Amino acid sequence: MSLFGLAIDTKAVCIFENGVSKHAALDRLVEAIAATGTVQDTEAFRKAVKEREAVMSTGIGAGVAIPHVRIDAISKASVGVGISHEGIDFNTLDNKPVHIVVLFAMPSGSQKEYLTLLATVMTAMKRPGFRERLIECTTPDDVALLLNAPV
Amino acid sequence: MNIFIAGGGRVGYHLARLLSLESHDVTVIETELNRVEQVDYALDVSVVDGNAASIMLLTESGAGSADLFVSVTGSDEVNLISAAIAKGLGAKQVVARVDDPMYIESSVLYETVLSIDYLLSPEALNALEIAKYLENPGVVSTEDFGRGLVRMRQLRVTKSPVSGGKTLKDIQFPAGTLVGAITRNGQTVIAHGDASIEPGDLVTFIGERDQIDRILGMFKGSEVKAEKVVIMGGSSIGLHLARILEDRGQSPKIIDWNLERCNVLAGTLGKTKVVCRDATSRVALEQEHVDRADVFVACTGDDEKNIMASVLAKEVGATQAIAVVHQPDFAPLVRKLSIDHAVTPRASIANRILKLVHQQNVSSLAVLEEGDVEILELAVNGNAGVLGKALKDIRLPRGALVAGILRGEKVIVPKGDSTIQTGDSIILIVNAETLEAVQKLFQ
Repeated sequence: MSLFGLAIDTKAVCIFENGVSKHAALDRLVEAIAATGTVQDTEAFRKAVKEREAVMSTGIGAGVAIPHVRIDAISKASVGVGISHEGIDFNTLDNKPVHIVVLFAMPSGSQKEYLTLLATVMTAMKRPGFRERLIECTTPDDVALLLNAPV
Repeated sequence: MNIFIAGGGRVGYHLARLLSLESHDVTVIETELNRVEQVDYALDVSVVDGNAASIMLLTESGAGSADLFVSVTGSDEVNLISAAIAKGLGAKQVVARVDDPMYIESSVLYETVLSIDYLLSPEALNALEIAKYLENPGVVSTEDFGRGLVRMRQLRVTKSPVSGGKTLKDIQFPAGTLVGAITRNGQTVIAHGDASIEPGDLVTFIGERDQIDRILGMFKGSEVKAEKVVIMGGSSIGLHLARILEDRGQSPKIIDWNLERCNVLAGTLGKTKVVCRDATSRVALEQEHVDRADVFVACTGDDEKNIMASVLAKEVGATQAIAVVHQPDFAPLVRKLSIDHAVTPRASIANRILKLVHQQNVSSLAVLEEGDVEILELAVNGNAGVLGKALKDIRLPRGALVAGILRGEKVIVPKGDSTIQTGDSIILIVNAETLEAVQKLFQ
């Protein structure tokens, strides 16, 4: 079993360039997940992500944000991961720049699967040293390798 | 929209008023009889008398048919339960207000397990608002829209090139920027060429993301630093704020009169100095070295205490004072008393709820002040009458201003001769009451 309990596709990993805005970062991740073929309607997906984020930041503190949507236009649970070495202003409640963005794209009605996945990711992010190792990755392959390693 | 609001206190009452003014069908659920009477008497909404966590009451009152259910009572648990029940009964979107950091820190999980769309904490939002102000004194808020290309900043102006007889049209502002709205004595107006700006005004600037600070520089004096911060009141706002400041490497001082609360604060906080005493006297403030503070923040639950202490803090020599004011009637007063900034808890949550309501037909917007003025993004309809016309030839109501035109991957901060083309989206600053008329022009 890998760390997130589900395989991360290298295509769904982004290493953000410095100076990227929150909007642009989310756009990149939306497109990265769409490239894996699990999203039927990319625009609906993008809109849902942006709307959620506009009302309330999905930053969970300590430099991590977990944007998440559950919509009909998604056929299979997928996760995209974005890394920013410099940090992105995500307007989080702790006012810290976000280095790790984990975007969850879930089909409607996938409550139990979704919850387990979220809890696993949040626990992993609290594990000592894990965030740091993830942030140090410089290529999508490194990120996928780290996240797909058996634990 | 059919909207249910559980809790008719400060936040609930304010929300009910704003939403009923926008002609939504609003139902308020409240247990306390005097509040029930107050809401019923003053607002054009339906009132249900009872406990919002009661599944029978929610079923009978039709909460399951709500387009939006917002739970903002004083109890986190009641809010979570009632929002979860409403969702279970069929409400389309549900929001619960929470205050306890335990809920806020794991909000993503609570939202998922209880099927609540949003957990919102006015206290955490206020602390963030104050922290951002301290990072950049004078700048009250910042928001990005238009795919991140356009930035809005609200500044408490300390100097102005357009006062003393001069108006906006007399000055050449940096390319790609404009003045959007001006708030003076609690009144917000959309900025037109004949407007002036006085020191003390709260001004909303809009512009290209990398250009906006050039126009701000014209209205800002020398930088004020905010290193020595004294917080009065160890409420949730005070605690959240101290945590953010600690994360920045600062060591604030927090003063609270309640010993039990001080023990909690001292146990949770690291670098913050916790002092247990009543800080509302001049002597106490002097003994706590508030005279040498860069910023004094008063955030107890008591408005009068916050205002009094802030005035005293300025008197003894604090450079800036910020007061949390729950009762918004006091907010304009605060400026007159030379308090530098006031934060209103109910506004922070109400503004987010308004965003949620408006997302139905417009996208990514900001709400200024108490919801009087909004900034929104509209996709111009393919057969709208304004297509091909120059902005100066479009008869926009006085309560509206086009602040940006989004065309492809570009943003244009418009001048009078800019035209609207097929496929454009516009960024609009508009008075709440003008919104419908303007929307018709473009859609």
